[in-house]
Amino acid sequence: MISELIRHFREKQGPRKNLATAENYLRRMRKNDSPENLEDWVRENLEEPVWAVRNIAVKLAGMGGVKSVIPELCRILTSDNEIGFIRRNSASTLIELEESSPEICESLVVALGDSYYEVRARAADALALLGDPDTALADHLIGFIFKKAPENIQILPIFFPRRVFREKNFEVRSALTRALGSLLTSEKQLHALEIILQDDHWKVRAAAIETYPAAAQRVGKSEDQIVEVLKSVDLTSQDFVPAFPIRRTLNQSITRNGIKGD
Amino acid sequence: MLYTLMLALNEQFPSLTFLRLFDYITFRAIFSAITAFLFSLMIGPPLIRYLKRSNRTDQAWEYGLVNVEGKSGTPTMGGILILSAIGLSCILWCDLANRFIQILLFAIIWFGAMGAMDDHLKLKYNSKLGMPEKYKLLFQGGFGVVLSIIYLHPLLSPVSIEFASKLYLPFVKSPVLDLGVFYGLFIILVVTAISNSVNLADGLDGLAIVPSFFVASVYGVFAYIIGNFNLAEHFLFPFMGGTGEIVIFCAAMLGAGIGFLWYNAYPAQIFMGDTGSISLGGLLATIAILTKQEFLFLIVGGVFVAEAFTVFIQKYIYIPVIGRRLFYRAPLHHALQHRGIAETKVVIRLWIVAAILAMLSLSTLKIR
Repeated sequence: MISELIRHFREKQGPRKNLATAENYLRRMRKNDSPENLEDWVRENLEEPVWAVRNIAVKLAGMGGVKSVIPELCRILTSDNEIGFIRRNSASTLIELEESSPEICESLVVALGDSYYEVRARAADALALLGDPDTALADHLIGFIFKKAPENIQILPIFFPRRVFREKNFEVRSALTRALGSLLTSEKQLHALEIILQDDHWKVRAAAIETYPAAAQRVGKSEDQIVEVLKSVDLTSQDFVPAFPIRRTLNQSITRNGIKGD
Repeated sequence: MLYTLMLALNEQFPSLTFLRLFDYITFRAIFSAITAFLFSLMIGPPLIRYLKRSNRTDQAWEYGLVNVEGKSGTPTMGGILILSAIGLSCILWCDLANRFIQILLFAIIWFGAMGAMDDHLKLKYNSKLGMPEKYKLLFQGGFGVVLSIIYLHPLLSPVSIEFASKLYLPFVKSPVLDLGVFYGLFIILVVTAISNSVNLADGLDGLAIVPSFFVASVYGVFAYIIGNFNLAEHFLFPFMGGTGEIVIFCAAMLGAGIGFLWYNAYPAQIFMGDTGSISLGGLLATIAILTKQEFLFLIVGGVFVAEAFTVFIQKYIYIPVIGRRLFYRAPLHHALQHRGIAETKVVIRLWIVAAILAMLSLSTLKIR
């Protein structure tokens, strides 16, 4: 941490001109006004010493669809020395670029072992979106989620149920679950998803519920079997979404009468 | 006002013995709380209607339709309700000649004006930002400077000048340090930190107000003990005559807080806004300084401290320097919501924590 503080203050001494340009480009891109030399600028600034500029360059690569920097993004994603936000944004950019290749998947799998949870979560999201069902990849995911082979687990322990999971962060576990649901190919792998349906965090259970039906259909489960499994899921939750009836009535009244406006 | 009036009447008509009740701090504290509560209840609905009509609300319309799940359009600046209830109750039940009360009434006006200005700017420019951060700090620091001058000046100080600049810690019997003139800087720091911490906690319905009145209640107990010669001697506190009046002020804060909660409980009909949160923080800071229990706030105001700590670490160290998050979100209540805990549950859990911290703070009376 001390070295990071020193680096931060050193960077502060450096030229800030590039940061102003980067922020200007970001503002323009958000208004759909793409700068002409964007690709060159992104390529140049992925190596910038000031990390805020590198971070914007990574974001702009996604927003501007600069696919030529994908190998660079894969390198950044798996680099131990890069800033956490930049590694995370590299994974997000790979999602935005919608390109899939074995090299990208390999980098994403490496990123699943990152020390920063947001990188692991985004890498899992990227795998869910970019990868096709794949037995080896799904096994990798199971290895990242569970401490021991899920076929040896039938039910989660009552005390400290999370001890069976390697991944302790709920956000990453949710993303890995969604990825597993998209990529699994066998009944054995589906069993892992069924165990995750018992997770004590409702967001992880919700991710498993979201992905379970399609995954189960893929491995040949009948609709009755799917419903039976889903019926057994604990639906208690610490969250709920409130609804204010008077607001709903107002919206219905506006919609019914075809009133438009801001 | 009633205090002076009733005591004067008692002198004129000694046969009216019941008027002596007004001399008792506990009696006036109870009625101060009741007055503030009833005033809040009465003034609440018309104030809500007024704020709504004068468009002092959160942005109401989103994409042509109202958000069914959100709370947009809820009147803000409800701090007016809290401050007016405290002010009125104080004027009625406190000894207005008491220097502590004069300082606290001055704090209401100062922080109320600052908070109202902040809310006004937010509403005027339809922005979340309001008053720029440096001006906020300047206002809070300005109050700290004024308070320091009063507190450390031999003629103006409400406390004995011999221990005005001394630092007392919870769990420790005697002062640990005499800061001398640097105590003024410490006052500025305390005022700024506490005022902002309460401001940061004001993000969910009922979250800022309940821990605030827990803090006020605990400080009320301390003020009572410190202002009572026998109790101060028994609990080994420095005796400070006149702090008993702070009990009545704290009771008014409690009553006004409960009255405000009546309307602010989930789903809120009114938000306190910065008018309320900055002022409550400022008042608690002032009380902490006046009772010489500044460090007690770290325990009794633990919820506020945690909220401020998460923001400070996340916003000023982790995100800009290290380039990653330490907490899911900051302040703390947003981190808890991010974990998938509903607003009401987050608020109630933090109330429970605040109650436990209040009890722990009271234990420092004896564990010294």
